[in-house]
Amino acid sequence: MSLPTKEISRVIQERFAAYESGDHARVMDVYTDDAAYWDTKCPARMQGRAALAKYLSGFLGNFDLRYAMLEEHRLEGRDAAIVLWECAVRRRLPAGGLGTDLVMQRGMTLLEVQDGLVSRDEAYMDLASLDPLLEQAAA
Amino acid sequence: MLTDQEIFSATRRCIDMWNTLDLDATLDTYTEDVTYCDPKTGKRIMGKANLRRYLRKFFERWDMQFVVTEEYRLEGQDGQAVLWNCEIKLREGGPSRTVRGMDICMVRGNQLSRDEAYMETSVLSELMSMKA
Repeated sequence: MSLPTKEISRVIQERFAAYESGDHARVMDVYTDDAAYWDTKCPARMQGRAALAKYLSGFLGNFDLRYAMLEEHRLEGRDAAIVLWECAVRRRLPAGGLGTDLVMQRGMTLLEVQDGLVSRDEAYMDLASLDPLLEQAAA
Repeated sequence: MLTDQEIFSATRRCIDMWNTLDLDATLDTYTEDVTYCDPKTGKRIMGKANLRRYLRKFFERWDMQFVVTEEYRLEGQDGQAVLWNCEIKLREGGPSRTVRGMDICMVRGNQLSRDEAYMETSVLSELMSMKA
């Protein structure tokens, strides 16, 4: 438990870049096999890459994400950091391309790093603002 | 630099005061030039006078009981991340819901100079609709 801050930042950068790519396999590659995941839409914490893969497949398939990382703070004595971010969210259209409606999200994510991968990912945000896009995706 | 204990105590005192719904006691835990935001503020609230206006309305409507679940100091800073669960209900009574959230808090002296809270707010709408 004493990774250089630069290494923690590298893993975090890759985590957000993977989400922006929309590439499901690339996203899964940033997590440890037993990664713990939670966001404000999850009723309970998820454990393990398989559960996470299932949960994220719909989300990544339906939405295009563009992050601006505003702040990154390492947590003292831990291989972890919090990241404050803004994200522009647009719906991916079934026929390809992106919808015109855009929702801006702000949030804070807690990330723990182990062996060059993310072992804990907890994202706190107000996903209520995404409901119109979620309804469009479900229609 | 403040000690870990000083930082955690300042934040805990603030959370304890939120739990009492005592507006003045809660505001005493913030600096005069505090920066505050949560998903319902829209933008950052600057200064205690503006925070007073916001919290007065919020405290009039909601009853909250926060429980701190994790707290971590930010390296090299007089600040921390605090994770919490909050049981929330309308002050007039009715059902409650539990919300998880995380704040980033910066401390000056024994007060918070910055408090940004991130959480899901759909439960608030849900509780309001159950009242209607």
